[in-house]
Amino acid sequence: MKREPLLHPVALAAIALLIANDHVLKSRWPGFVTGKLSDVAGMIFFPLFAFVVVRAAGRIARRDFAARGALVACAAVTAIAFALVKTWAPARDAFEMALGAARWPIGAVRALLAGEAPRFARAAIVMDASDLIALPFVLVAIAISPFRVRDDRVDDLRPDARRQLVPHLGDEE
Amino acid sequence: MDARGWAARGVFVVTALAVVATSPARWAITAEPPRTQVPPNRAMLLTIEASHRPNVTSQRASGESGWLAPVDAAQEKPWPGRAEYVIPAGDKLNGVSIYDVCTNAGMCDGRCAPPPGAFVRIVGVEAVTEWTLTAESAPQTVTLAPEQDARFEVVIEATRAAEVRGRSSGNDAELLDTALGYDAPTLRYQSEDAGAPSKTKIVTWRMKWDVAKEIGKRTIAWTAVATIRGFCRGDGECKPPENESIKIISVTPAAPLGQAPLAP
Repeated sequence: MKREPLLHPVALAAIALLIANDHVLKSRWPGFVTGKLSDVAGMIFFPLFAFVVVRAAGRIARRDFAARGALVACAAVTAIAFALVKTWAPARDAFEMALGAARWPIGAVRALLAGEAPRFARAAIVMDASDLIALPFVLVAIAISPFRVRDDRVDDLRPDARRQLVPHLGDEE
Repeated sequence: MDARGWAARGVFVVTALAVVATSPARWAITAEPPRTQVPPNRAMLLTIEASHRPNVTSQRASGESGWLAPVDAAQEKPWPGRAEYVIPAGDKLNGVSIYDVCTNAGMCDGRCAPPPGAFVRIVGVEAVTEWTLTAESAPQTVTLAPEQDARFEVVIEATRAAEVRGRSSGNDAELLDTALGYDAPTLRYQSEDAGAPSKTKIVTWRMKWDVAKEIGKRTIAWTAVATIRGFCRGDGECKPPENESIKIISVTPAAPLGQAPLAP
């Protein structure tokens, strides 16, 4: 059976927490706690989300790699990128532009439906070094990973790819 | 595709949307800065009117910035429309603003205008004289190790919202953290309990990253300092009212995030 890291209850809770905090809690109870909750939630689920993207890319490219190693790499990249965005203005600017670009299609559709011209708007990210207290939570993503063995391979390659990569696998699935 | 596969894809899509929709755009209105200046040795009493609870930020001479609470903590929630704030002598007003997230949950694509009737303005500026009452703990020590925070709970009893700081001196002070952007030696403190007579503050110590690995473990001497502030109108002598008080009840080690408590 495929192992889906985003379906882990902790990951689901972190995603729910991000949505609730960004759209309800922050505006109702602004303060230190709600200011950090989204960062903590992101540190937990984003490495798993990034891993799913990397795994999908691996499927398309028919590349085999160690699942746990890939997840650890996703966690490390997430932590480094988060630290840069929160402490280094050029990284923050780049991330704001990237996030604005990711939002653009939705905003463009909304604008067109309203009879207006689509416009690009960058996202708003607050630089705050104290947000780095969320960094250790990236370890939660690794801890709840379903990939326990160091040489565990990505396990949802197409059957033909699996045969190609693991010749002795046969047709039992 | 089985149900689990569909669930995984559904969660993936929701996650992608949640990531994209995070940090929703906000509208903001900034008040005109006050035209009246006060002498540098006097505190500044600002009277602010706003449609939403304002964010009043100031900067200390040390460079540390922070939010100010209203003089009367009871004015903070719910926001009554008008409140007074004191900028201590020597501090600088950074700004007064109101903001809120766009009601369409971050998809507003640059058209995030303030709602009708939103406003913020400084309607009064007055030079006042501050009084302070300070309490100090008994001398404390902490053994700091590289890459390990030391956190302490400081319980205080005060008649108004208090600020708690950690103070170290000499070579010890030079070793302590600036990694979080505050002036060393300093601390972070919980400030959301303003108005309660008894509060617990968290003092966090950490060695500077660049020296921690060189010196290894180091025992640091420090003192917790708690302060409450008030002000007097006019130019006369300004003393704390007799019914104001502050004292430090205890200083105890608290568990660092995800770790066992350190020995004091």
